[in-house]
Amino acid sequence: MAFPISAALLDALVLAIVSKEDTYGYKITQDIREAMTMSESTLYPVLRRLQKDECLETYDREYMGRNRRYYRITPKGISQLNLYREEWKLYKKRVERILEKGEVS
Amino acid sequence: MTKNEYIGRLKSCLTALPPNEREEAVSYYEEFFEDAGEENTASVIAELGSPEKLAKNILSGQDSDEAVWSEKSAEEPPAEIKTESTSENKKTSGVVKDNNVTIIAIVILALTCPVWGGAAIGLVCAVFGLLLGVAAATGAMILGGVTMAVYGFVNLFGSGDIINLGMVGGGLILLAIGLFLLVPAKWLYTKGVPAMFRGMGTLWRRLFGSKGAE
Repeated sequence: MAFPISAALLDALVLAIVSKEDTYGYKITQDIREAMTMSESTLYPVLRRLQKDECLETYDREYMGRNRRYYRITPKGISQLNLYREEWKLYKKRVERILEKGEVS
Repeated sequence: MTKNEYIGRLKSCLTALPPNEREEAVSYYEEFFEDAGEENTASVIAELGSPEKLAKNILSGQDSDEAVWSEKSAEEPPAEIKTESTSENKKTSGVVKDNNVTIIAIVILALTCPVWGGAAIGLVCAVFGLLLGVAAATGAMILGGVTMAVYGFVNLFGSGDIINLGMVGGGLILLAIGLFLLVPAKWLYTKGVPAMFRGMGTLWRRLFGSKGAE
């Protein structure tokens, strides 16, 4: 893809995916890769950071006789996600205005 | 390369991490392989790159905020207890040391009171004496000068005596000296005295104030 993903956008996408339902690393990676090119190794540091920032928390659940770590969004993560959504709306509007009409304002 | 070989090499590349962080990262990728399915192992490895490269990626995520990660590593129960108790010990011993120093200082001051007490009282008296002296001298010069000049001037008309003329001259000289003395006196009382009291206040706080704040 021509447009690189910023760290903030990646955070926002991960939070949005996890906010819909608790999910695990591999699934989140594949969901994001549906929309954009991202290396499979990109997500782990992002998940760690979001955990560290208390936007996500984890719990373990057994799956097919092995352990699987699930991620769950926290209240702090939800408010962060709402912030990202607002920011994104503004960003999208400004970019589209320029991109589609060549107008700055 | 099999999945287990990959994970093993990844593990050995992450020795720089605290044990719990390493375990976390390794089990994340173990699960990742398992969720991808055995048939996809090769493509996952191709996507992730060499274990060394992946380890670098994990470690660089750590470098960006090392302090937070070392804090995380302290979350391991034994480490936490250890660090907590050491810092606690340090803190306590620091307080004890401070208190000891203050107590020793007070004891020494009290014991040597006869020696420095006289000197201190003498010094305080000297300072107040100097202040009073300057004020008195200034006042006396001005008052005396005015009185002498006026007295001489009045009598000069009465008798025209040469002595009265001298009195007028002397009085004016005294008045001039008195007025001249006003300058250092004014400085002493407006700047010197407040500064002295401020100094005494600071000294008092340093000796006893810090103890009250603890």
